[in-house]
Amino acid sequence: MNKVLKSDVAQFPLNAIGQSILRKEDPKLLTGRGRYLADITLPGMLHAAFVRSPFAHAKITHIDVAAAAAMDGVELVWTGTDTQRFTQGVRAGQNCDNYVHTTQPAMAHEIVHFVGETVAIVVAASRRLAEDAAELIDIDYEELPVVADIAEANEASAIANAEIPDNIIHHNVRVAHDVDDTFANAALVVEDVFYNNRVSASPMETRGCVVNHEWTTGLITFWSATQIPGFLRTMLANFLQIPEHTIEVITPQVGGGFGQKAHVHVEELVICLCARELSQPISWVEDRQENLLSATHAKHQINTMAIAVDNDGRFLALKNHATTDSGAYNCFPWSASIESKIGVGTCTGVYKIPLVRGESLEVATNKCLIGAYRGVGWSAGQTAREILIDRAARELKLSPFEIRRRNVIRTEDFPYTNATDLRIHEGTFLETIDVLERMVDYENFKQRQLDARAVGKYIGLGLSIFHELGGIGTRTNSYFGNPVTTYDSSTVRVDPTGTVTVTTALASSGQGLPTTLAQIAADALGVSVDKVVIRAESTANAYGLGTFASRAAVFGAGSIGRAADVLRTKIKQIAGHMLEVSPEDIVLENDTVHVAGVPARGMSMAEVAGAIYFAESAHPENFDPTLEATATFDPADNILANGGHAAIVEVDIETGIVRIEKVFAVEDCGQMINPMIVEGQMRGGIAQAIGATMLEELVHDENGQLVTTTFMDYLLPSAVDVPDIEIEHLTTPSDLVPGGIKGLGESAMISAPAAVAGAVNDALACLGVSITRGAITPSRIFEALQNAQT
Amino acid sequence: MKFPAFAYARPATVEEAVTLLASDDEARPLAGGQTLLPILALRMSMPSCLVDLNDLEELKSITVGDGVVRVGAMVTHAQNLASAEHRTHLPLLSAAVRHVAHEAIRTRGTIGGSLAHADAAAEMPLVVTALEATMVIVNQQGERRVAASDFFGGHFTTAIEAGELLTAIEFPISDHRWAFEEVARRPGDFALVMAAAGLKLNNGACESARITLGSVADRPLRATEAETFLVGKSVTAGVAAEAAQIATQDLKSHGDIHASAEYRRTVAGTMVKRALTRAAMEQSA
Repeated sequence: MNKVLKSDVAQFPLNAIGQSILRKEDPKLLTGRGRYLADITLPGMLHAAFVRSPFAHAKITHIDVAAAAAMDGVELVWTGTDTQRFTQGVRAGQNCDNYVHTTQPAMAHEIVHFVGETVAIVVAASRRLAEDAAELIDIDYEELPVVADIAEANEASAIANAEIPDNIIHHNVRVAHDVDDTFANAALVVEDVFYNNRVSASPMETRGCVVNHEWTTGLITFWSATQIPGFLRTMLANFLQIPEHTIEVITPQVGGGFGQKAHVHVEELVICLCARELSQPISWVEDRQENLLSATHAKHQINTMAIAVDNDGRFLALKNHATTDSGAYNCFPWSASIESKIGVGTCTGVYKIPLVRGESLEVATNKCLIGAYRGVGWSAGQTAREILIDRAARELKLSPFEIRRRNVIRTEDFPYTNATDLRIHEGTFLETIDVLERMVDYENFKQRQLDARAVGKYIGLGLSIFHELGGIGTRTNSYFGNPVTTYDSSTVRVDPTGTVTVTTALASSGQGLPTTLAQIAADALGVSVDKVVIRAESTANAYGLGTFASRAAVFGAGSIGRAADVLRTKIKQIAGHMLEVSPEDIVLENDTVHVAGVPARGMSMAEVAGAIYFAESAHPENFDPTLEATATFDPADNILANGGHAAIVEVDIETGIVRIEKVFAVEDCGQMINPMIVEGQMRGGIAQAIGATMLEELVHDENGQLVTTTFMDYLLPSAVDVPDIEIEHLTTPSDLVPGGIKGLGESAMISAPAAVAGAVNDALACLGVSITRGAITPSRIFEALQNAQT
Repeated sequence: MKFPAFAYARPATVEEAVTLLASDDEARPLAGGQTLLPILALRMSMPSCLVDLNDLEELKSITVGDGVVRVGAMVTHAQNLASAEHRTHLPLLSAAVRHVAHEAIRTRGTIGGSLAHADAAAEMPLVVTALEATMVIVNQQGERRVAASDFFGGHFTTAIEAGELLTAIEFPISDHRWAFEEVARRPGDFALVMAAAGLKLNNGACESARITLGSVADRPLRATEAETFLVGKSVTAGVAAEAAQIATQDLKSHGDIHASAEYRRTVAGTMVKRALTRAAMEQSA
């Protein structure tokens, strides 16, 4: 266990941290010189295409690959029978009681369990030839009964996957206070059933890998558009029984991940095996249709929630039952419990709700597996709760700000242990409400809303206050009932010329880590940012799990801070010796090493480094000249960031068209490393939130057939769908992370959906309409309005 | 998502293009490629040969004369959007083409391509129906002309026969005032529902009305009963609503993942009402 105690957290003066410096990686990206996976070409490289199941549940009775294999340019055709010789596939689940683990074969070899599941692979001289050959593979299926949704899964007259008895992967009662009397006697109970639509993270760059096997040495080079290069390497070794040290995973420029690329996908196992079989490099870059069919889906669940409220608007108790439509297998490493189980763990949010009954259920269906997507677990429950809170406020004629003020955990309550057993010791929940109220100009809004109604226009305000368990490490995982150890490492080296090279496993998928981690290293060693380079592109570097769960800034700051601390001590030691002062009197700043308060009495970092590497005469006695240190980090406790969102929308009640007028966002992610990048993360997340709430939905028919397989039908938000976004910041530095940094990557996808959905509900509340099913399409609004009229 | 193999030809004249198409039933003309190329990538179509029309300069012009605006089939949506002639003579086309996809698609996509594809949720089929345009079709025997009302045979089906090419659309210049209304999931998407209304008023009374609905059936629909109802009436809000009701009362629309049949039927009425109201205001302005 690598628990970093609070007292171990490195401290250093902040200089580059907090500055909106331009991103180091942008010249490359803005001039089209970024090298993504699809840009990689190797001598003799072949291309792969998968044949995927057209049925949601079927027995494979016959496969004939002869015609495909005989085609010119085809090098290899494999089916599940071939991969089964080398690997059972991806075994996934959670190490807790009553958890049903599943094994997703590398390619289905007897039964297919969802539309899009891998059935065969063709490796050929080009992707086009591979696709041509794939069409010649003749497969007979015998269809089996399909479990198409949660209702059918619960009914269990058909079984989605024989590994999962009664279609139940996991059932967990997180907390079971006796709430019945409280609900029976409460002045007000607000309750509803909330259906969260199935969505895709839809990174702009799809999944893929290029794999080269060098038969002379047995070395495998695995280029992957992944968020988790270090962990992927470990799991390739485990699942394929290939010695880990013979694998190098390289992450080129990655075009977005958002959680979807933080999994081990079966396709990666297959490509690796084929490359080894042929000893020729193979490229697999999935197309958008494959991505929508078979890259992990997300968020799909039903929350049945109720809040008991007293006459003053105080929350007395909350009930939440969350069921995830989990698909046919557990995703790896997160498992099917990535959604509802986490959501129930945060169901009381920033509020004091003394009594809770919260339980989660993951059921199996014949669909693509549910996996991680920005805001994992939180989004659906947050949306349900915040809509109910707005409803309670309207019932009690309180403002949505006031009802939240009356219930929010305040500074004087810290440390506050909530009903789901989360210890909350920091946060600006009350301030967030106040700031949002000012930004929205609530009094003015109320008048506008009334004036608009008078002329048949319907505007609404939605509000959502959140906290985020960001920088997720061992303790947060344990809190969510998933006892795993997670840490990340960085190696910091001061080079002989005084520049700084940092290697880490915290690969960037577009978040700006080459810049923000450099800002941290620069301050930790008192050098300028342009003296630092972050190398995260290879598993030849320091080991770690990777970039997900709003953790890279936290784990980067922690590990870089701790490693730099070792070097700082050493630099002070030799500089003190050279300048004939005590090491404690030495400071590192502005690329120099000098006596505190006397900048003239010192030398450049280059001179000190040069002396360490090349001038033994300058060394103190018994001096160890290693100017490189590796440190790991794993926060000592949960790290809580917080904030809130408000949205104003106008609904055309004749057409159901919603115009989002404006979104307001407040974020407290502690000390910001780079405010420009923070705001970029916020805006990007809000755009995704608008998509997930209003536009995006993976739709299956009653046979489990996915009908939204292109961006013609799976609608992403474009620039014109995203309104003006106004942002303000609060700052509560973390005392658990160097620099006071917290994570914020997921916050907008946790909370902004609730604000947008809440705004639509507020606009229509005066007509007796509520919308509890996403995506909130014009047709669904229309239907709700029709139902309210009858 | 790679194209299947196909032959490629780039004729220099319409005659050459028609000869190529006539010689091979599986050959397909390539105009702007904004629909055909994605369909090829998805391997939903496997033509033997693509006959690329992009060198046919004769199909790329807009000409006005004799009460007719003639628009070449290879005129792009962007050209139509920028056309001053259209703003003067075909304001409905100018208004509707704004709703066609996005700038990148409008820059490549052509009016002829859109009409030959005949997606019932696309704007151009509605515009030619509303304006009673004539489609000019060329084959090896010569030219034939088909009224817009006879052109669309259903979803993705037109009067264009094998070996034929749509070369131009002739729009009679209308003396009606026009308005266009559409709802789509996102700006630029195919319409959930749309309507065009044209009114000719005389001293405040409707002399002639044209109402066309789109994306509610397998082809654009003229609401002739509602048109007749309006004749002689002043188009007030109430009358517009009544006309909208008549226009949509017998509509048997379809539901899909984007909107229910009931939504389409009802909101089609809203589109008609709004278009009529706007057209009436245009007139008095």
